[in-house]
Amino acid sequence: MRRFGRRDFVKTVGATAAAAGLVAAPAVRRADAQAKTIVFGGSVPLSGRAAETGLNVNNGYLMAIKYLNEEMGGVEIGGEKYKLELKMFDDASDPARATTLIQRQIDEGVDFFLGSFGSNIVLPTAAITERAKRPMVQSGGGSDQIFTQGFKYVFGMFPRASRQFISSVEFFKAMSPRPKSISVIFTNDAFSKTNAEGAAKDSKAAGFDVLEMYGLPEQITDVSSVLASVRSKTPDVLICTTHDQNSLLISRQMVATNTNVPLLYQTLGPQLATYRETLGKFATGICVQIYWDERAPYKDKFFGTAQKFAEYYRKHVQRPIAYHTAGGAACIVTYVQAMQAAKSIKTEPVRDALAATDVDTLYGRVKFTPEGDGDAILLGPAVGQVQKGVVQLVHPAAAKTGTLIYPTPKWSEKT
Amino acid sequence: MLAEGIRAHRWWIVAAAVGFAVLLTAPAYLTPFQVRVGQLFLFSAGLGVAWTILGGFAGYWSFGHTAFIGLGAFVAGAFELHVPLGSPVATMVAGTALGSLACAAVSAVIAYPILRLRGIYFAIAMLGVSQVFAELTNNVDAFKGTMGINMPNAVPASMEPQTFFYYVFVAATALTLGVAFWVKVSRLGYGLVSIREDEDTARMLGVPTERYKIWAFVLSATLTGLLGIVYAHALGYITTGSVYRTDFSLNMIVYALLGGIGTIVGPVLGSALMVWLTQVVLGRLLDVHMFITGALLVAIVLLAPHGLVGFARKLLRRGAGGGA
Repeated sequence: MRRFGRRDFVKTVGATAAAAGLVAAPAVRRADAQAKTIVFGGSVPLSGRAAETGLNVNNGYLMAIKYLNEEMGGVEIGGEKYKLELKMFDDASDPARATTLIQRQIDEGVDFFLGSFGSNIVLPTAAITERAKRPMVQSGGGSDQIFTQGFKYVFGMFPRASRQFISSVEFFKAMSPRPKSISVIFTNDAFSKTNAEGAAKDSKAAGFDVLEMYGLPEQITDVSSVLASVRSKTPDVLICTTHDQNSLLISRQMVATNTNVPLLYQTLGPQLATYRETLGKFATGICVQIYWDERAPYKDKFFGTAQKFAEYYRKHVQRPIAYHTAGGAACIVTYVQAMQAAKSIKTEPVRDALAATDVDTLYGRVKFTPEGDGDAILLGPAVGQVQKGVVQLVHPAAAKTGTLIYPTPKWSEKT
Repeated sequence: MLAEGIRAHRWWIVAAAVGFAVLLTAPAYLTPFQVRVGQLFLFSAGLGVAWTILGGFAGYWSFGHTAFIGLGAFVAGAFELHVPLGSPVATMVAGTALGSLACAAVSAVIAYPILRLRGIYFAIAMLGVSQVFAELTNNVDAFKGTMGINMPNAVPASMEPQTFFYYVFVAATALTLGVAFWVKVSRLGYGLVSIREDEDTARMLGVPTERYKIWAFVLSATLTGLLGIVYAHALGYITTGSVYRTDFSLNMIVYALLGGIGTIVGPVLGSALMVWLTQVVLGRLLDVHMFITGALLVAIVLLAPHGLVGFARKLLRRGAGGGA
C-alpha cells in the first residue's frame, strides 16, 4: 500500500482550503448580484468561551432574516422592496479579533450592525461603530458601561445590568400580602453581583427591609453556613441572583436543611427542565426571572406572535430555542420597523427612528431609554413560578399564564 | 560583547530599522482595518519576542504568560481609575509605568521558587500562576475584574484611535525587540543559551544559572505586561476574560514555533503569518476558519519543523551547495 506522504498531506490540506473558499465565494457573489439589499454586519462568538450563547444569538438573526426574505418576499421601506442580508463573522470570543474585523466591515461600507455576545466584546466594538456613526442594535451586552459612555448609535434589547431587577421589584410590590423583608444571595461574577446590587438598591427604594446580602465565590459548593443565617433571620423573600447550577445547589441544600422561606426567588435555574426534574416536587413555588417565553401574548408585525416565531424556528432549527434567540430576532425586526418608520435606509434617520422606537415585537414591547438600553419595565424580565413541574408566568399582568402561589408551602408540605 | 554583537548582526539591525521606518509611515496609506491588523501584528510579534527571552533563549517554556498581560492591564487600569492625573496621557503613562513595574516586582518574587521547576513542570506551574492571578483579579474588588474597567481615553482629539494605538504598539514592540537583541548578544544571552542546552553543565562551568534565569523571567514578564497594558488601552474596556486568556499564552508559543524557536526574527515572522491568515485571509468566514487555521498550522510545522527561519536557512544552504 502506498504511504500517505508529506506531499499527499499538503495536497489534502490545499484541497480542503480550496473547498472552503468555494463554499464561501458564492455567498459573496450572491451579495454582489443582489440589487436593493440591506446588509447587517457584525460579529458573533461561534467559537471560544461564549460560543454556546453566540450560536443562540446568531440563530435568532438567521431565522428573522430567512423569514422576512423567504416568507414575506423582503421588506418594504419608503415604497421600495428590499432583501436583507446577514454578513456576520466569528469573533471567537476575542475582543481584539472582533474590533479588527468590525473595522473591516465599516471600511467596506456596512451601515447597520448587530451585536456580539458579552459586554467585553460588545463595548469595544460599539466604540468603533459609534465613532463611525453606524447604528448597532444588540442583545448580548448589558453592562452599565455600554450605556454610560454617551453613545448615540448603540441600542440594547436588555435594560442595563443595574436596572435588570426593577421589574422584579415591581413584582414584589404587586404581591399580596406584600412582603416586608428580603435577603440576597449572590456570587462573585458580573451578572450575579450587578443584579444583587440592583436588587438591594431597588428593594430599599421600594420600602422593603433588606436583611442580609450574602456574597459567595463564583462557583459554590456549600451554602450551609449562609442557610443557617437565613434560618435565624428569615426574610419574606430570599433572592438568589445566581446561575443555573448554583441556584440548584442552593435549593437542594435548603431542602436538605429544611430552610423554609415564604418565597424563594432565583434569577436563573428553574427555567430549565433539568432543574425542575432534579428537584421534583420541591421545585413547586420557586420563582424565576423569565426574559422571554413563547407563551407570552406578544404581538409581532411580521411573525404575528411570539408563539409563531417559535414554531417557525423549530421548523428550521433543531437546537432548542432560547431567549437569546428571540432577542437576536427582535434586533432584526426592530431595525426593520425603524427603517420603515424613517422611510429610509440612511444611517442618521434610522438611528433617530431607533431612538424613538416603541413597537410590539415577538420579544415584547421594544422601547429604548435615552442612553440606548432597553426600558427597564418593558424589556426587564417577567417572573415565572414553577407550578406542577411547569413554569407559569405570574408577572406582569399582560403576560400572565398562571396565578402566584404565595406564601409557598414548606418543603415538607410540598406535594 | 555588545559591540561585537552589533557588528555580527549589522544587517539584521539595518533590516529592522528599515522595517520600523516602513511601519512608522504605514498609517498614511493603509485603511483603518489594515492599521488595526497592524496593531494586532505588532502586539503578537511583541508577545512572541517577549516570550522568547525566557522560552526561546533559556528553554523555559511558559504556558501562562497571559498572567502578566492580565496583571499589567489590571494594575494600570485600577491605578488610572482611582488616581487620575492632570491629563489623560499623563495618567496613561503613569499607569503603564506602574503596571509594568508590578509585573517586574511580582515576577521577581515568584521567579526563584518557580524557576526551580523545569520542563513540563515549569510550564504547568505557570499555567497555574495565570489561573491564580485571574481568580485574584476576579475576587479583589479594587481590580473590578468581574465588572470590568473602562480604561481612560488618552487618544488626542486630532487622531484616530487605531492610529494612536498603532504608534504606541510600534514603540512597545520596538522596545521589546531592542531588549531581546541586547539579551541575545550579551553575556546574559550566551548564558541563557547554555542553560537551554544543558543547565547542569552550564552551572558546573560557572554560569550563574539562577541569576540569569531570574533576569530572563523578569524581563520577559515585564515586556509582556507592557504590551498587555497597551492592548488594554486599545480595547478601552477590559474584564478578566479579556486579558487572562490561555490562547494568548499558547499563541506566543505558536508564533515562536512557526517562525523559529530561539531566534528574534522567528516570532515576528510567525505572528505576521498567523495574523495575516486569521484576520485577513480567513477573517470573513463564520464557521470553518478554525479548521483551516489548524490544518495549515499542522502543514507548516510538518514542512518546516525548525520554523520559517530554519526553512529559509535550509534553502540558503541548499542554494549555496548547488552553486559550489
